[in-house]
Amino acid sequence: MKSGEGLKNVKRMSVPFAPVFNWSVGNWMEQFFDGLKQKKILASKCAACGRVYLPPRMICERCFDKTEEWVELPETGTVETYTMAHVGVADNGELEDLPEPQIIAMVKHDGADTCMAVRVDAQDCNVGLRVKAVWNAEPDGVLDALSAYRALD
Amino acid sequence: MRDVAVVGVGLSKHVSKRRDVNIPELVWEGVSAAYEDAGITPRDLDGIITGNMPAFEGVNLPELWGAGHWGAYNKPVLRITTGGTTGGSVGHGAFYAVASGLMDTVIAIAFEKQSDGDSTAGLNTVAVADMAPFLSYGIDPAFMLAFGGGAVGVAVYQASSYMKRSGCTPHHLDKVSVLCRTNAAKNPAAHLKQPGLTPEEVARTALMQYPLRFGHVCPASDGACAMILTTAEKAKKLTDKPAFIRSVASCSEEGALVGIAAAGTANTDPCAQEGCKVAAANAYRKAGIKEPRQEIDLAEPYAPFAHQLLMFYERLLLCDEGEAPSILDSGSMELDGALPVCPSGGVISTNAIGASALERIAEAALQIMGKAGEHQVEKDVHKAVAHGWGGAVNLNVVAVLADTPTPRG
Ligand SMILES: [Zn+2]
Repeated sequence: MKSGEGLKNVKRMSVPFAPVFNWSVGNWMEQFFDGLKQKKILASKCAACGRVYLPPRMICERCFDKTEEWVELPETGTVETYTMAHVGVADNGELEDLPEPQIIAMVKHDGADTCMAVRVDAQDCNVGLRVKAVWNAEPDGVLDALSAYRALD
Repeated sequence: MRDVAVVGVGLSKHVSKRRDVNIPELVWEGVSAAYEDAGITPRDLDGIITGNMPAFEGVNLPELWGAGHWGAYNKPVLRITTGGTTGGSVGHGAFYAVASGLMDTVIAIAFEKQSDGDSTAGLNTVAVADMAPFLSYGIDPAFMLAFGGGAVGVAVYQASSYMKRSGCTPHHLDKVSVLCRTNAAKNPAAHLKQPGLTPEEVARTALMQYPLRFGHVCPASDGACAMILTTAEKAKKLTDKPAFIRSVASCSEEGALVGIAAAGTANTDPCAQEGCKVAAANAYRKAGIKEPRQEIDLAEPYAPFAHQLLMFYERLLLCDEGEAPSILDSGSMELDGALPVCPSGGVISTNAIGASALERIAEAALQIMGKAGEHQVEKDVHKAVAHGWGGAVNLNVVAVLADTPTPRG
């Protein structure tokens, strides 16, 4: 423990601290990730109100019913809102300038009532832009399976 | 003040690792069971009072992540977090909402999913957060971390002191574990179930930190508890036999430190637990109970460590100080005894930290409603006391429940 430099009534110390968390994704997201491995976009549907959740969640929060029905959605969707990132986070946790600005959009897949946040590669992005998912060659069941979305012609 | 009735109780199963569900899905299990038990839906709710200790999951604001999974859509949500007492404080908050007349029907939800977190990180964040108090009281943090600043470190100094003061022997500690773990074997929600456990088996477990053995210490559990509270009028429409929360009381002692000051305050004997005595006396008075020793039928003290069941039994004013070990010997604390203690199996059998103090109230309610199942005690339960201990090891929370409302006037 060292005295705070130049500060009255302050003591400085360092505490080693390296936590490892193991967050469970849950039953519904596990099925979503399994679907990605087979290039399927799986959403869950509430039987009571018909809302379709993508990404899926166990409970329709409006009805408090379990969403027991699964629907496969198309790769196409619409940009609901978007931003363009100029700064990203490097592996060491520091901020860094991106080589190219990156569009990040809230995309509502056709047939879904909720949005997913995805990368979009497009010259001009706008609210209402129609986009399509681009799969990785070998999707491995994590979110990276969908590498980026491109504008529909 | 209005009368407050418990009309629904729900518990998830408690195990050490629920890898199959995420936090909202786990909590939903307890919550949906409570709605079902009460025969209501979230539409009937006026508000949600919830809490856990987020450091143990490493998830900030889990009550908002999970809100929809426990029926909060379009409802007020309030989080209460007070350390080990979290669940008790959540129950108190729900009581305040109904008793005050501000809300009619509320759900109290408390939970922990410890397997998601880093087990030492959870405690470390608690301990790291304690560094500023350590420094301000002149204690070297490195020394404290090395010598019993962890979970068990909270209790060992207290155990030594209690054993000296009360005459409690290591054999009594073994018997407390047997009492709780064999009760837990009859409770479907409990975690560590050990039917047929003997004191000799407990005595053979490894010494963890003197004087406590592994067999004297709670497990780390994943689990959730939910309770539905409402007015006496609305309770009549829902059930023939509600449990009434007659009173709640809590008491914070002086600022305390994990570790060397152990479990009391920086200045006093850690087994004194004067705050528990103050909270208990206040709770009995507000509940219209003059002679707790004669009137209380059942006790759920918060005891993650074996000696605490006896120590808090005394501090809840259910006998003289130092008498609890011989009362344990008499068999009075058993399921068929005169004053059963921890029929649920207690915290020493099941500890989803944030949920544990609410589960004490839930068990008291289940026993009064006659819905405890295989661990229902033999006698009729008219009045019960439920307790929690935590905060910065300086907070005691007490609730008194009964099968009739608080006598007024
Ligand atoms: Zn719905």
